[in-house]
Amino acid sequence: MADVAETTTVEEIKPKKKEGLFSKKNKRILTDPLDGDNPITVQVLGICSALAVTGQMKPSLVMGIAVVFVMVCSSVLTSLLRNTIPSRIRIVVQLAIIATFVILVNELLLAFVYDTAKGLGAFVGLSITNCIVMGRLEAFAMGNKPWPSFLDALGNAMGYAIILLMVAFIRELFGSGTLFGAKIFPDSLATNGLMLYSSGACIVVGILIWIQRYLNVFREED
Amino acid sequence: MKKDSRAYIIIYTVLITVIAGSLLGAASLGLKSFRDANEKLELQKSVLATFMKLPESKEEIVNVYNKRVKTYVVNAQGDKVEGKESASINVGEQYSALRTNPRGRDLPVYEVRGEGGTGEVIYYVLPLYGFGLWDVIWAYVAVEAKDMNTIKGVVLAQRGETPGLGARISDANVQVRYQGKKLYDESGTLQGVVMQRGEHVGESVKYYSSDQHKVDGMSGATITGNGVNDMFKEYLKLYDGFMQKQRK
Repeated sequence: MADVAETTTVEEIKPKKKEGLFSKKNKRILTDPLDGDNPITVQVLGICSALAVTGQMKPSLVMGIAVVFVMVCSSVLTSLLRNTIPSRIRIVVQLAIIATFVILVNELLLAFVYDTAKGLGAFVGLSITNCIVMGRLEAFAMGNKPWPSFLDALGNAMGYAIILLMVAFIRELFGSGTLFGAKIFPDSLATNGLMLYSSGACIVVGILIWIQRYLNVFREED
Repeated sequence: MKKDSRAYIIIYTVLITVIAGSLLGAASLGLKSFRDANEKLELQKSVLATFMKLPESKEEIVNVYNKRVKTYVVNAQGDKVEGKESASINVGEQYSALRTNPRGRDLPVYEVRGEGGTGEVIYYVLPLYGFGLWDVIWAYVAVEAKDMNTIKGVVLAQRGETPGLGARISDANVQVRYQGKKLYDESGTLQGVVMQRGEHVGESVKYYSSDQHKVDGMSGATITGNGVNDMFKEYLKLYDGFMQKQRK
């Protein structure tokens, strides 16, 4: 018995030491949220901003990049601080970290891409309350080392950004007949006004969720 | 010190607050010059866009603006207010602060001279401010100086109007409808320009192309349109004193 226990502990340590930056486990942390565990279409988080900013491609792209930045930075920082954060106030600390980065991003956008920042209005600021960001901090970064936390945040934020761009693609194409502001459909083709409203986005997101769950043979747990 | 002790939590909270606060303060201060420059450029662009095609480069825009545009502040009586700079006046702030006393607002005027920046004033550009469906909207109107009546062109801007509907006020093909319209009727009373309901889809034909005080509206954006009309009636009234003085 003692022998077995010894070998198992040795074996446990070994792969940990050898675990590469892109080991299988780490890769899955990064790629799962892109598809099978997507924050929007599977976990159904961050819906509010997905509906609000996706009228056009450009603001969606900027919003996606902003969320990637905020999530990665706050995840890594939370992970670095995870052993010092008192558990009783951890949510407040996470919020403070997220808010700091969100405000920072907003300031940067206003300074360097003024026109798009004006278009995004309050929604960059509202990503403070984006459940994806906080959800990942609480569920992952609080209990994992910085590198896996980095991958997890990147994966989830990218999963969010991809859906944002897909919704924006459909909405801008059919709602305004343009992509990134460039005309695609001729003026004679009537555009679908519903796509311009958030309610249209709701329908598009719903259809995306349906398609994805169908492809992944997803079943709601009892 | 124990991680869950009260002292630790208090110290931790204070530290986080101080660090985050000073970081953001520093960022805000450090980027303020960029932000101010953006806002200033935005204003210069808007003023120029009312009467000319904007030059490509930033430098060129600033150059043309500095050469051709002079600005000062007037009051609702139409008198120049000495000692006040247009640059230090926040039209949006005054719009909401002086809602009950609109005639107390400071009114910036932008005088535009010819290509070389010399000679007579050819246009007066007047900023307007109002509220659309969701958020504030604003406008710049270039009025021909020779009759102080004909609109040379307008720039309409919005922040939160519905994309594709009310947000269309910032599209050039909506703004172009205001060109050549008149602000005053024959008797010299300020009529403004009123956006109507309905629009003729297509570039050249417009329902109201022959009417001096009416322009085509935007389908599905009645409330934003009302906001625009309100600017062209109520806010423009504040400039009536100034314009009447120029008309004499």
